[in-house]
Amino acid sequence: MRRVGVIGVGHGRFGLRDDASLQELAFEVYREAVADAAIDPQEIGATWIGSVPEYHKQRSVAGVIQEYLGLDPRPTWLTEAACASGSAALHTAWTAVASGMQDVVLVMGCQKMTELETAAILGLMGRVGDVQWESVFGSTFPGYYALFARQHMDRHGTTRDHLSAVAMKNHDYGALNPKAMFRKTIDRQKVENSKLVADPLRVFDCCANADGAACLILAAEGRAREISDRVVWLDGLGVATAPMSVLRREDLCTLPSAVEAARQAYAMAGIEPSQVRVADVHDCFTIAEILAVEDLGFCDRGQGGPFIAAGETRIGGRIAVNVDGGLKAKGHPIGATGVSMAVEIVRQLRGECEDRQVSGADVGLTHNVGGIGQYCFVNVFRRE
Amino acid sequence: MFESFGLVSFTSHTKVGDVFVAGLVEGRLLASRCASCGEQSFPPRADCVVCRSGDLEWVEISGRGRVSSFTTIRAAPVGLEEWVPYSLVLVDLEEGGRALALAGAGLDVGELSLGTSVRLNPCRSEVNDELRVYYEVEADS
Repeated sequence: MRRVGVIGVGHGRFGLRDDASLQELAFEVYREAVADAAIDPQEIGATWIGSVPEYHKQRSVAGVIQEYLGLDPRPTWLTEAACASGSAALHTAWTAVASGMQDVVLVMGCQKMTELETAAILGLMGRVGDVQWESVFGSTFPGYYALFARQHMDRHGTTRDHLSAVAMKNHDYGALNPKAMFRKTIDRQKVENSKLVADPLRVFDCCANADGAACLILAAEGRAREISDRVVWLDGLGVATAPMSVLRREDLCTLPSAVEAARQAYAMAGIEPSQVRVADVHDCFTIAEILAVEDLGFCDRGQGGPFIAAGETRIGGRIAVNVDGGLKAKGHPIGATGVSMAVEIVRQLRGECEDRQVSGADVGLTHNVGGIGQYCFVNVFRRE
Repeated sequence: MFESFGLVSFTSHTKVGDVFVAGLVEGRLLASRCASCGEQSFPPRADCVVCRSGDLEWVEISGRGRVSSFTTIRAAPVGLEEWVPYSLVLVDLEEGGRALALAGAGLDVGELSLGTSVRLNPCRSEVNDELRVYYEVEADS
């Protein structure tokens, strides 16, 4: 298989985007990525779009976006893997380029989550779990992660302070990211006085729904080197599934899909976790970042809370994690998130992140979870 | 018949619905067992995940188990607003399988810890002549 590199990136402003339609959000980042790659868009052979369709009033959005981008008659597909839909698009696009089927492709992650009425959104939120055996009792997204948190606290001694440390860190970096939804630092009191959503998780343990888009242009190695002298290579990919139902999970202190996806990605890239300098991980809730740093092998099992609270995941620590603000402060437009993570890591490896740049970053990683772990994608990026 | 299971319903048809709901109406908790290889499942499933057989038997289980985790939901989805706050308990069942269920009136969630022995109790109620069947978690006396 051919080596595949990222030659162009685009990232829109995340948050309430009632100024733009879905395809307009997509165009913002498409324009930026094409300019960044400095290519003729006629070279783009196909488009993969990561987006979760049930949030949109427009049906079959891939075709509508392709049309608005002016890329007809080239093919497009929608990939759906809940909150990991963007990474599903990237993974699928990678297979097309690596296999030789395509030379240059577009990966688009985009989502409008504020288009539906509140009642419709709350209705969707009531069906995040297994609707046959779990949603019928009123299970919610924060509710599931609360079950994870309770077990982690009980078994590993994770504390309220550890959860708060995740939220504070990610807001500190979100404040430095011009594309983030929340650009304000928060203190411990702010987190701990916020309303309980599902004990022990509070409002400030949760990420926010957002609108937004992000975009990548991939190319096969030969063409990538002709086009760009700052290619970031996608050298390790891992993807795995785990039961959607919490009734069929052996252990709630880990996402088994993340462990398996990480194992694949590290093996393919030929690296150890300790070689990763910067990572974007799926902090849909504060406890999720604690699970992520453990599942990815950045620290010992059970030590995620103290590891983060000690500053080891800040810039200057052992590994910089979510220094773009994470889902927590950047916002979580679910279809865009996986692509947004990849854009951030590419920019870190190119050294373009200014006051939140991780110095000397040469290996970066993304960890993107769908649902409560039924899907997980881990990717390793490298610059030469 | 399965639309009567739970507090709200999203799944009206399932191969395991009629027998399971009839069991709850009679106050019995039923697990499925593969007639071919013996794999037991709670909640029940129509198709054996081990040997792929579609022949299933039903076995009654005691509902005894231990708390695996729990939470109290304070932001409810549509249709459950009047229940807030409600507590959900994840129970590892003694006879295999797991259930997510509401904490019953007799269970003090404030005193709950992981590993506590509990029991899953079948429940039924008639709301506006409409049958609802479900199960709740109670202290194991």
